[in-house]
Amino acid sequence: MTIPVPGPDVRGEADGKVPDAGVALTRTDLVQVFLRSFMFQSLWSYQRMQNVGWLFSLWPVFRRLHPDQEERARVAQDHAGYFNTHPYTADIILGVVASLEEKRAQGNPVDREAILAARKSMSGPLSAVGETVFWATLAPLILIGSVVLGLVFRRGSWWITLLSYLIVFNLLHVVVKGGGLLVGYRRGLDVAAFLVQWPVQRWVGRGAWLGMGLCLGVLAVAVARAWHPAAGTAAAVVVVFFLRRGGSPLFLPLLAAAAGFFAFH
Amino acid sequence: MIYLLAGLVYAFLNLDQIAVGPFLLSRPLVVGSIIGAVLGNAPLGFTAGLSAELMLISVPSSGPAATDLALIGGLAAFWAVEAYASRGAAVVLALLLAVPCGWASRRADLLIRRQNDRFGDWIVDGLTAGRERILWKALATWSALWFVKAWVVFAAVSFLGLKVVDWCLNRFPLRVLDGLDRGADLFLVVGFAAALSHFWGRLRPVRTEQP
Repeated sequence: MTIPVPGPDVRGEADGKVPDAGVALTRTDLVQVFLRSFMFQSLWSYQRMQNVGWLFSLWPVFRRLHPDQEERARVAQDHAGYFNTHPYTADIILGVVASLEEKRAQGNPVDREAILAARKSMSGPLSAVGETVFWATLAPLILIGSVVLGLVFRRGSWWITLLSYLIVFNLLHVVVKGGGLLVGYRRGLDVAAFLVQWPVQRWVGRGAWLGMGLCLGVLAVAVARAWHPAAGTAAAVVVVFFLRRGGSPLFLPLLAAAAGFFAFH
Repeated sequence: MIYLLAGLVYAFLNLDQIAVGPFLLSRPLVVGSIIGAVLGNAPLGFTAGLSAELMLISVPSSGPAATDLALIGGLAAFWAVEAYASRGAAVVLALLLAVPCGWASRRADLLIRRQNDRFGDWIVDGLTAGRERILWKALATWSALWFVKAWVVFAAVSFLGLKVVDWCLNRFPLRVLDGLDRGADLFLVVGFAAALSHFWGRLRPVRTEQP
């Protein structure tokens, strides 16, 4: 991840206002940014993706740092461009940009172009990390773990599975969002050096192995309970082969129905 | 009445990926289980939702996803619970019908979302003109419109689809329905095989390009 170094531009010259060294974001502002970031996906559009969610989340920062309405409108216009990242890792970028905007408002040599470039350069890599960690690894892993938990406690297994799935995943994602905002705000542009220390790829690999192990275990039980173990095994092999060859999962219900139908006859 | 009630539940849970979240409330497992519970048969709703969830485990629920997973889970659970005959074939037919409905619904959603570009311009123009409350108004209006759209779509499609599922259960020969019952027995196996393939893909990505 490459983040541009802030340029020599002085904030007061660019915005036509005298810098205020005493202006600073409060804890309440950051809490507001955090709460608003849960609406990050709102008004997603093809042209500018999450730009409205971005503006909405960062508005408490603009309100604090730019009390003048005209100046705030100008800053909003600067931030209204295209933006797209993962909703759970967006808070890291929000924290970094809040920190940079605060430094700029205090008169430090931080260029607005550099702030927007930092936002842009972080969005792609963090989007990829979010997709890989949350959608592709954590959510499926927690789902399979919850199903196993439901199978262990047979009585009321459906609500045990459901609650475990929702509580564990959301607890994790809320902690990551809140922690990301704080880390981004405190470390500013140094957050990139902090993030690359985390062995995310190794965790994803281990998570995938754990998920495969759980799936194989439950699959063995499911095959044994299927109406015919040979048909169950054949179905599992066909499904894995079909998907690994790039087949769409949307056809899987059709595949299962056809297999059952023809096997019966 | 029951269509409107289930539609209300779906519309509320669907806000998870449109307004606030995502908290996984719009995943098929959650939508299916809750609609099943509202209709009085939570375990069957859970089974339909879990089958859809496992088979579509690799499909993300946010952004420009290929299909509306919440609608698939919700409709599959609704039709499985409300079908004329409570048997495995009903779950199979419900899921078979729900998948194309979810796909078609997302295609329609994409057309609606293209209009968001204008909505976004309107918000930025308002902010530039000093109307700051426009952010709240826009988000509230958008969420309300999406809620009503989801409610109407679910109520209408669930009503029509239930007629189709009941027609199939009434008219299909018994041998065919027995075969579909066997298919339902295989759903869990197919779902976990899909999950296995998904985790495998995390280790070895699918090769789509030729060397």
